[in-house]
Amino acid sequence: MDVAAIIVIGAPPARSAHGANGHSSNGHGSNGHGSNGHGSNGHSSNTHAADGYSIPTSPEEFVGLPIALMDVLGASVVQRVVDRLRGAGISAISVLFEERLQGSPVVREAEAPDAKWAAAADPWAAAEDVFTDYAAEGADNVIVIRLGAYAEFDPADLLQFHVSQRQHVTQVFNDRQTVEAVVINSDRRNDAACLFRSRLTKFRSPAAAYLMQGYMNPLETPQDLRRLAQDGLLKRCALQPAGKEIRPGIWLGEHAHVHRRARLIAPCYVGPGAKIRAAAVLTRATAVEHHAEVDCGTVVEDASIMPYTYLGSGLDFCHMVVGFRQIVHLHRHAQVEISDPRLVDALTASAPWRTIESAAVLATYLPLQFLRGLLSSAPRQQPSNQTVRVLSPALDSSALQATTQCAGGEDFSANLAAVRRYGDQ
Amino acid sequence: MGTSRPVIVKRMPERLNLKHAQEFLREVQPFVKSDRPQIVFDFSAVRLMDAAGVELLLQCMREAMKRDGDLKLAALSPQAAVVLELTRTDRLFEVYDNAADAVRSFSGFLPNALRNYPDWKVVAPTPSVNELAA
Repeated sequence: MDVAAIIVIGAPPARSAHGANGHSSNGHGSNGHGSNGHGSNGHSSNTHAADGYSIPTSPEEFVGLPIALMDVLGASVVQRVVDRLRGAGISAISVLFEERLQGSPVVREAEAPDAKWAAAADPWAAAEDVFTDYAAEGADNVIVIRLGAYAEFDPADLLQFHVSQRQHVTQVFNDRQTVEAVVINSDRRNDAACLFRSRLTKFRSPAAAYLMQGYMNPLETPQDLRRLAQDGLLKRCALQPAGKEIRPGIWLGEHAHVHRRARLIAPCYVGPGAKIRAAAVLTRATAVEHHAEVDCGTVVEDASIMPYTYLGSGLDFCHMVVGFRQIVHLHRHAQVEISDPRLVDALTASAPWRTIESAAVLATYLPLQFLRGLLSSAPRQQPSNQTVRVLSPALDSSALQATTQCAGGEDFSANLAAVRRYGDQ
Repeated sequence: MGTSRPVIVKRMPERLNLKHAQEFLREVQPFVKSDRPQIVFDFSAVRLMDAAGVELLLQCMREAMKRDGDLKLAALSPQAAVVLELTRTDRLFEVYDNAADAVRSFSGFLPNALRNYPDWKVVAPTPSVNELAA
């Protein structure tokens, strides 16, 4: 074993520590998590709960979970980093995360089988132990990455640079800021201990600076998460959607179900087991992650839908990150908790439970319709608000057809107000 | 994923109102109702567009979707872009800067040619008030 890697999820350095970088390497003192032009816009995000209270949210987290564990185009950020390291021939990889996250479904799903996952009260203290273990097992160098930001650098090139510089520690930078990734010689345990204790902010001795050229996203806010999905779909970074490209720019995961009357406009991604119902529209780099469900007639535009999220029928989700019964509006910079399951709901992660729930919905829906049919005296004018009967506001032109029929036969309507109903009802 | 099926490029008339839209629909119907149609509407000449034009687009899109085909838009004039944005129908289509890119997009994904990312760009010069009146 020549090289090992340690990935630490979450546990960012204290905000006050930013800028004070100790023995910073080669004059690159700035250690801020500032914007790099890819998504982070510098504002502080607040949660606006349904009851009107504003709750401050932690950076690099969405609903209390590290953004690095969230799925982006079919795989979590940490999984993608593990894959990149394995692609460079590094087989000994440890992922350390905070103990509070243990047992969380997000962690269970993100756990890559090709890395050792471990929870710890203090992941940095655990990293010190893992570093010692790797050194004892014969690793020459150890790459330490904090997620944190998503950075696309070539690990093989970084290692080559580290060896050629003959320094004990190499720190990674891009052209604007520090990337929280370092390479440490395994025999420099004191250097490693200093780095881990300062959460990669202080160096005992000068470090070589490796300037990466690739893409970087700070992944500080849900806006950054959305930006990463968009950049992946628009091929602005190396992140590939995990699925099959069924048409140019449209990727589908395994067992994804897309109704033939649903419209997918490239680029977009539908994850494994996701369901896109009739007359739904996915447009402008929308990503629907695995086992999410978009009900009939709903338009999803420039949005990321987290796994196991249900979006109600006839709705319009624009510029949003939706998941865990929360909506983050990217333009309004607001986070809203939705308690009405007809609008947004969280589906259970258990497949048998989902089947039972679907059967229960069907079992209650059919008798209700039967009773309505028996009891109603007049013929029904419009479909009810039941999910499966709602027509698409975006695709169906029944409203306009009604107008044009009144105006006379096959003639088109020249009334823009009527047409407005197509897009945003 | 590439396709060998032909891509039909139709140049839209200068005016897309009730009368012209109906004429145009009659003209394109054979293509739209073919098997798995691949159609590009070139909007570079469009100077006037109203609800009838939007209805025409949606009708063609529905017919193409029914037959597992697709309809894409190219070279939107500012006038057409405004109407499509106003009615929010722009988000129902892939929009390209020019017809050549739109044609190529049927055989391979062209992220850099898509018009909606990151911002809308004006392709054709805006005509003067006198031109519009004429």
